[in-house]
Amino acid sequence: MSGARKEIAVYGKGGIGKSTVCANLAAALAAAGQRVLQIGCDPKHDSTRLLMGGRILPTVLDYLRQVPEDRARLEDVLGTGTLGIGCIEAGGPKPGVGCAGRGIITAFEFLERGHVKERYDTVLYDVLGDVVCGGFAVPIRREYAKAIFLVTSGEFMAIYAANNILRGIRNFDGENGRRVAGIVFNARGLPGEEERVSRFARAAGIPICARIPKSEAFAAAEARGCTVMEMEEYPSVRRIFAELAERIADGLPLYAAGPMEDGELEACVLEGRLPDRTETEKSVKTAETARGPETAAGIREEDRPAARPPLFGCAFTGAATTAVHLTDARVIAHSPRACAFYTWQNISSPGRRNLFHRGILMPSALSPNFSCTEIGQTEAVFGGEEKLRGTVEEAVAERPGAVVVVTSCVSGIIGDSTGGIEELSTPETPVVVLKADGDISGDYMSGIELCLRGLAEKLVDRETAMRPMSVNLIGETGVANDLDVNFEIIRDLLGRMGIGVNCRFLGGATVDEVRGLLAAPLNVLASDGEDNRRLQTWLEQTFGCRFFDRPLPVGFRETKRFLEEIGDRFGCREKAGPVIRDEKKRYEAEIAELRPLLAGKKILMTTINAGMDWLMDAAEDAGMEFVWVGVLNYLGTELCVTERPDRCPIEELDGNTPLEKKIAERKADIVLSNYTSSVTAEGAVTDAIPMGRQVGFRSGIPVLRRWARLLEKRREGEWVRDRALFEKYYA
Amino acid sequence: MTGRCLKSITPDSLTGVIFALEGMRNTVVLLNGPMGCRFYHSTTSRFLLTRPLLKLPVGESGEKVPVDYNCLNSWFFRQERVPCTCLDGFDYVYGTKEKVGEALTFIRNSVDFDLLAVVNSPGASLIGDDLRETAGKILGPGRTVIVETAGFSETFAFGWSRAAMALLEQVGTELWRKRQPEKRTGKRVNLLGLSIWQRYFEGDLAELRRLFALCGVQVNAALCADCSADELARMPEADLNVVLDPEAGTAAARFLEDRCGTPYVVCGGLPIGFSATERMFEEICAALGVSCLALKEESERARARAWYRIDQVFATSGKPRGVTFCVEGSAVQEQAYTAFLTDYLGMEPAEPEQAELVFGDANLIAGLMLKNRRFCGIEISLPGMGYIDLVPKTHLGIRGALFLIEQVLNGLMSRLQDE
Repeated sequence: MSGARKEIAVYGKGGIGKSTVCANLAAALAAAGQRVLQIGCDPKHDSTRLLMGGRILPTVLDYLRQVPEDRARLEDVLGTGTLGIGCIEAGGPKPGVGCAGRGIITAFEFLERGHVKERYDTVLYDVLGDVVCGGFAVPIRREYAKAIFLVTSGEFMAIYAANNILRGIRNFDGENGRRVAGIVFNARGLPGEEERVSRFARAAGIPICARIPKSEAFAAAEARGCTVMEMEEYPSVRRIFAELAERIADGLPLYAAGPMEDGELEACVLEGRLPDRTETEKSVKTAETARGPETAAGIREEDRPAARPPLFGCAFTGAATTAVHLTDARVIAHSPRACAFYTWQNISSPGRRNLFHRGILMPSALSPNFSCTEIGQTEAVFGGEEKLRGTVEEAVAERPGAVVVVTSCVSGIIGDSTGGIEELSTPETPVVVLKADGDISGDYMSGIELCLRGLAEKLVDRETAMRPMSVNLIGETGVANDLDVNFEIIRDLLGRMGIGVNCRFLGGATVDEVRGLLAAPLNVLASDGEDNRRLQTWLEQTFGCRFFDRPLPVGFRETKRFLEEIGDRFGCREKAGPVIRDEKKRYEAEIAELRPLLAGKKILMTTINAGMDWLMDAAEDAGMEFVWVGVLNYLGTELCVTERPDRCPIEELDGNTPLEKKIAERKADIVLSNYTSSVTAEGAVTDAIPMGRQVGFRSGIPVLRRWARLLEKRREGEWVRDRALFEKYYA
Repeated sequence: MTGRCLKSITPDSLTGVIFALEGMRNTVVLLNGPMGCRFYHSTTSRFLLTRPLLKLPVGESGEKVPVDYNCLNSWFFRQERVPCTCLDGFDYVYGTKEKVGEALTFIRNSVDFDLLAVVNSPGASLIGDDLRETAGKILGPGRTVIVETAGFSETFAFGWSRAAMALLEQVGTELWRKRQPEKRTGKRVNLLGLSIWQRYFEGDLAELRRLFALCGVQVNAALCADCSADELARMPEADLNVVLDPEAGTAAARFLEDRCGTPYVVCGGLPIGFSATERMFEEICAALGVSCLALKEESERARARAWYRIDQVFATSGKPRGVTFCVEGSAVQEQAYTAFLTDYLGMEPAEPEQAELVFGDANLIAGLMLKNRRFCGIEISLPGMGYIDLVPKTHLGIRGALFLIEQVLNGLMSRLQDE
């Protein structure tokens, strides 16, 4: 090691004496004329105590917790110790809370912004070495330590920790990097320890740079609150550090990290079977060859976690977006503001669109009962439980119907305990914690499920009085534009048969309505997805709920069947007849109006794998024909586009399906897809399949009306051809 | 009851970082985080700027087609902006290096870009992976920006500042080292603190460029505001750095002063209204030693035009004098709009629940509509209600003052019909 500023990391097992070694080395370097900075990277923050005359410095993290970043000054955390040595303690949270690794990252970011290293010739990082997360590895990143000492005694666990540190260095440097300066052997006076350390050093291919004997010198220095280097006594100990400092100044040779496998380490250290260096290298290399080559990112194939499908959205957003439909509750995101912001946008976006485009005010979307604890840097390091508790206490004091807490990945990663939060419940206001932990518990749909189960478990009253002629709607999810429109349609149809809606779980319900969920004798799924079916099974098993066989109906045929069968369940089938007759008359009149414009037209459709009979039926009723359907089957499940697969050719789509060719071959008049720009269709009308489906008899009518207009008005407009100009001017 | 009176949740530093980097032209911003952190940024970024269509290779032929709803690419997944590494719970335990490496390799091989940025989500930034090392191996130096910590709940401006600094330190300095300065004609300025995440960003930038041109000054680069790598490279050639938003832009200005010796001015506020615009350009022109007479003359003509219309409304209604208003936005917005509305139009600040004119984002305006309040909402920040702007509009500068007065007068007229 030579060159300009020297940056040296001193790693070792907790309690092994690294701080003592580090402080004495700092003093020796300073005594030799170096400008030295020592940075303690251990939450117990006593690395620099001996250099500071026994004084404990305020830590960077404690300081940043109290002072806004724009007013934070390096000088407030930079102590000047003996011989002018700069002293800094990164600090960290109390054991068991927060994230100590994150603490190191935060402290280093602050020190980088202050350019503290520029003031010194040598920087020593004193790092706890038996913590393995990325935060504690920051000092061994290449932009920091250029040389690394391992402090160890002859105890096996200390050597084991040293070997682990070599593994960490190897991960950063690969085979060829050379940053290990060697071992500082801090003897405990145990029998055979020097031999054990020597065997380890030989096997790992690194030198023992210093042997520090067990000496009362350190206890004496400790008692005086200084380093041994400042004492008159113990010249032999002082000489060890002075020599080490001299070697550092001269430029230490550096070695590649050659960690051993666990078995080899035990054999070498405990049993004295010393593998020769070639064998060790060979074994490391053989193991590496067996483990396969590194990828571009420096990761080996077998280190890759098993391929997992990507998660669509996160459970946090799914849970929070669902919970806001508990209309008299307060929903609290225990998260950074970022997570709550996207969720707020997810909730409010359809509200804004409906207001702007249709003049419809959607209270739950436009003013959601949703707030955030705003986990900041302080909470990320020291834990956010206190802040969460305070926020929940404030919310409970306002006496909402309930307080629902949803946790984010940040609170999950730092391990915030939410166990005591539900104990803040009062008789008026139950507190429910949904441990979504961002996407740790799953995707958006998992979050919805987590929310519904959590709320049902905590709120539903098993002793509620029955409402015989009523149903619950189960699994209305998200904040879709058509949620309330669909509810009004189904409420009207059921109402005309004398059947009421007891609870919308959870399309919009009060806490009391959820408490009374079991009052309804029958439950109806809002849609027939896998997630809703799972929820159904859970409600059946947990509460003995009974479910209607069919979900809310989409399209004429489904709706007719739905009303007849639900009439059977409630003993009022006769009331379905007049409703169906009225609706049929209306439907047929509308179809008759559209038929002259649509009959004989051919439709080609690409769609996600979802039921499309509602649209296919209506189109066929208007005399149209589906000539080909391509299905984007993202999840690889059984195709469910239609109950009558014989009505037209249906194929699964992949990236190679030549859509333009299909369109030309089938002579399609209308090309449907989930997103219009995905397909270019010369001579055909392109249209998007509605994202949401309107329930009831008339589901397909608005779509047919749009097609009629598009087919009638075939003038496409010059703008379509200007794509070429876009390519020209925005390439 | 909840009272449904909770305030809107506004974007924080992560969004500030992402949209600052998305403001660099021909740049891919890879979010190292879960897909849930990506959707908002991907969806919104498409609407903030008019950009070329991104094309990715598909199928065995590798033919490049525009990214759209049918594009199932693991990182871009249906959306062309802000690809992500799709982290899950295991990645927080075992590290994200592999996923970042795979995404960077794909992007390197498939996308033509000038700059590539990697931004950690809040969760990813907790675990301390060395992204710089991973990106360095795959992309080499000089065109990669890494933001390992985008902040936790800090302000949008904080995030913008952090991204801008990362860009200057990690890429700018490399580009400056290699660049031969151009032959100079006339005075040039860099703009610092403008963000594409503004209600009228394209119009704002166009108006500022126009007004500088009136003063004979060229806008050399608008950092992170539709700025190319070439403009980033020539930033040291400016005569002055103009900080429009102190919280966002001051750190970058100081850095440029230290590294390039370029002086900077921190504007006393946004140029909202005639007086603020005139003051800002007087100060900048004085610092550059150029005249702003042409700008002042145009400002006078615009004031005259505005007077004619305001007077007509005043004659029939006594307004806008005394009309109550509220402004909710960033600190610099609140200060600038309030000064213009009170000093120029003689209006009176009020709480949102009492204000006749409400200046804010669409969430604030829609939330107040729920309370059956009679007021006129004027959007000054995002999210908007959904109006699609083709003609660039602005509230900044002289044209911005006229547009703002137009919105105020029409807002008042719509209220007059109720009275």
